[in-house]
Amino acid sequence: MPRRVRPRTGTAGGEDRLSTLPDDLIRLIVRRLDTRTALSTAVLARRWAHIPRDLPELDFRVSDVLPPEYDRAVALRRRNMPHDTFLAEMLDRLMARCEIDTITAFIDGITGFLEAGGGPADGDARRRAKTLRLDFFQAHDGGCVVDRLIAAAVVAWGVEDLEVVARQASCLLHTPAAA
Amino acid sequence: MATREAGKKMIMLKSPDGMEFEVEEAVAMESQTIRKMIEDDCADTAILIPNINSKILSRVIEYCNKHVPTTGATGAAASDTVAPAALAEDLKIWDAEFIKVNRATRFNLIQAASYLNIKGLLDLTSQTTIDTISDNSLEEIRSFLSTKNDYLPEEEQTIRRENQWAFQ
Repeated sequence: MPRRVRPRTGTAGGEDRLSTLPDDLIRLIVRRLDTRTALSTAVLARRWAHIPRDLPELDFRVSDVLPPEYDRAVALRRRNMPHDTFLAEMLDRLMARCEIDTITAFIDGITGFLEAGGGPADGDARRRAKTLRLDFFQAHDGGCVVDRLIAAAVVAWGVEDLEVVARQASCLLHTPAAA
Repeated sequence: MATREAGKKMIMLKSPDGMEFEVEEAVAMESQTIRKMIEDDCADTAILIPNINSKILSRVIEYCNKHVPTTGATGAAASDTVAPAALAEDLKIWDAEFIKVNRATRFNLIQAASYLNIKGLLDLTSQTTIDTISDNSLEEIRSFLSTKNDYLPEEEQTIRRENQWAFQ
């Protein structure tokens, strides 16, 4: 099978210094990254594929993908600002948009994570996390993905520490039908 | 490494390439690994530090010398006259100078800090790599790590899908 080799950019030295270091050292560094950055390293090269599966702690937090403007908007609306109803409604719509995008991203991200079979570089897709922290929006279609994640975490990985924060999405707050 | 004044218990550290370093016990005990050996009485005369060559070991000892709590400040009893905040600031500047090494040395230092279990040194040595990985595109990280993307396109798609949360 042909291997794709991408052109190297920037470096002059040809030595693969970190790659010559043991996986333990790579793990050591990756463990010190936040979960999203740590997961992204799997894409670097084959030998990184299984590194994030060994992470001892995993954090899936919607706060990691929500834009900072969202928190500011929530704070404003909590103080019943802005007074202008048109502006207030516009802000509500923007917040709802943010929440829906985030809920979609969360469900998508967790689904991909759960459905991973053996990776291309090694067949062992078993995770070893012992701590799982979740922060997600309660959504009528998102509950099952969280249930599956918690079940996998507790039963398959052997998670001992579980922290769950369920947020109320403002877009669902005012529409009882969606509850 | 010069012998310190009498009265302080000294420990001999040996690198695999045959160099010997005499250090104060307190300095050596900045390493939790060595501390454990000493506490378990496995270190009567000399401790061989495997896998860490003399060049790296001497840098590690230099770090521990600087960071050992009571005698950390070189020269006279500095801790009596200098405010703790100033000492911390001084240490930070010293650390920044200390870590100005090439990448191979830094990776060797990370490995040494990990093996010897010296938390401060591990934090210091791995931070640049952590910052680089956190703040750059995948292509830039590959370039920094001199690593090649050896995935087939469909493999890359699969691994991306698994780690989708990172790319949201």
